[in-house]
Amino acid sequence: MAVIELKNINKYFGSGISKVHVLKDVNFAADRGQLILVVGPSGSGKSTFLTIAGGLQTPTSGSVEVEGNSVENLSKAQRDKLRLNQVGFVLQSYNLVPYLKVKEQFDFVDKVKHQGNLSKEGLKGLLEQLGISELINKFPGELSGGQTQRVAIARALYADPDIVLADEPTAALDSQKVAEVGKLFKDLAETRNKAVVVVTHDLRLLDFADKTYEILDGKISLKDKEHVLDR
Amino acid sequence: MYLALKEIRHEKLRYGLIVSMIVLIAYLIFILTSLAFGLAGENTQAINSWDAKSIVLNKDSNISLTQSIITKDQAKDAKLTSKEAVIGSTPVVAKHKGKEKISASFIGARKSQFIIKDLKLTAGHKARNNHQIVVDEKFKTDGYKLGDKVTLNSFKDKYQIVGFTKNAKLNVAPVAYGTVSTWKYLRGMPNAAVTGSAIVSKNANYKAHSSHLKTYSMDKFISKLPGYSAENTTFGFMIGFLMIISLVLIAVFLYILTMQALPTYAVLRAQGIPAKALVSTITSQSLVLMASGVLIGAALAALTGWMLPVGVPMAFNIPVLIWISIGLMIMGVIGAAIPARKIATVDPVSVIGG
Repeated sequence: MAVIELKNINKYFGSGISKVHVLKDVNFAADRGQLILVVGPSGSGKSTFLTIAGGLQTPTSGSVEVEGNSVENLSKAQRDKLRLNQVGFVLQSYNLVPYLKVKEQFDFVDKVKHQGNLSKEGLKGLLEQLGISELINKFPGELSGGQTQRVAIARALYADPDIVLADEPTAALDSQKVAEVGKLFKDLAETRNKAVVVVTHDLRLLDFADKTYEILDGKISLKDKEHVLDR
Repeated sequence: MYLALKEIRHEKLRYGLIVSMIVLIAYLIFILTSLAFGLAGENTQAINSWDAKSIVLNKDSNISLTQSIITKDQAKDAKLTSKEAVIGSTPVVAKHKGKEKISASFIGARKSQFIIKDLKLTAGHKARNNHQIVVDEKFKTDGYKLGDKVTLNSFKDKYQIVGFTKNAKLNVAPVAYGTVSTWKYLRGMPNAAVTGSAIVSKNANYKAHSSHLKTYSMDKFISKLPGYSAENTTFGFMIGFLMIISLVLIAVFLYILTMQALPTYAVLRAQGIPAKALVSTITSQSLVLMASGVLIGAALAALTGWMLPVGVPMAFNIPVLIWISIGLMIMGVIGAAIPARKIATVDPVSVIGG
């Protein structure tokens, strides 16, 4: 069973003559252990797709299911809980609380989510896997872009979510760092059995994806790597 | 609270500046409040020590003790029990060769009545004749001592200081307690058929049964002391305004800091951190800042009170200062309401899509 599934999603913004059909009959599914890319140019609807998948917005029509449970009927507080427990977000910027040291970013998660987080040993293993064990006493402002993204990934995985949703995680990274992050996402998906969905326009990540979806003008379709590169 | 404390610790300079502003405001409020109480106390210390509930004055005296004269005829129907005492009041200037002149309030009273009977002395004894007086300790701090013989106003007669009492001030002037006969003499009517300036009573409903006399509650009488209400209203206004300044200050600072941190709050909301947890962060931050400012301000005010000369009328009324501190904390919570609302309504979608 897919861990997250979007069925016949439509999303409109505005009304009357300014009404825009942003997502058109979107069908999407992600399984555990897979890294799935959703690529597309700016304005194609990628961000709207991500916010609906993560329960930050509700679709105009269609349904989102996480582990077989419908999301759109959940209250705001229930959706907060869903994101806290089952969805890990890795965002383009402002991922980390600037005045918390790396280790305190995880302590803060413990303060708001008392159960289901990684154990001390689990966190140690995750930090080692991400190569950031030596950074735990640093503030985000003392980290490089690549290190910040790795800590943000660790922060997202610390709550042990089923799904990781990443928004342009390789923006502003050089090709070597992009390759590192791509490999990391793929490893994490496989070794930790997560569904990792990366929304990006960075085609350098294609090599690491198990599946690639393309969004164009609000329509999503499953594509192979060569097709995406040809466009 | 976790985020609140971590942020304050990390941004020491920024929050240090806010706390220093709150310290200054709290300090000013504490000093002004203590001065207000000190001055109010110096107006009413003697009255408060009598523990009287009402006062009978000549109805044409405009509720002024020094303007009031009660004749024997007017007081003939007034029943004086152990709860009533006749007093005569007049301002005097006490002089003693080689010492500072002191402007004082002379209170003449009968030694058989409660004002003199209940008078608590810190040294010496009560007046036993018309040429003995008991004075407030202000005389002692100005160099007067037991046995000194002082003149009052322009009279040649000398009055021996036979006792000291504390907390005996009326209209900011130290009180000299003597006899009613001495008061009559000082008022220039030694043989007049006059009872005194007023009858004070521990009974709130005491009546003197004369159409020329009127009973006032002690609170009303105090409020009509020269300058008393104007002084208290001015202090009240200043203290109230400082409370409002503290509210605006904390609200503006927290609002600016919140606006700067809004993207971080949006990410936290996207990550599922409940709005309640983030709102409690800003509220705790406000409380921590206010509590720090109030505590330091209180310590500085206490230090100031300790260092100031005895003549500065400061009285630290601890229960009132605690209430003011609670008021400042409430101002802090109210001040955090606007930024808290901003955090509660932040749209996490705003940080998706960079």
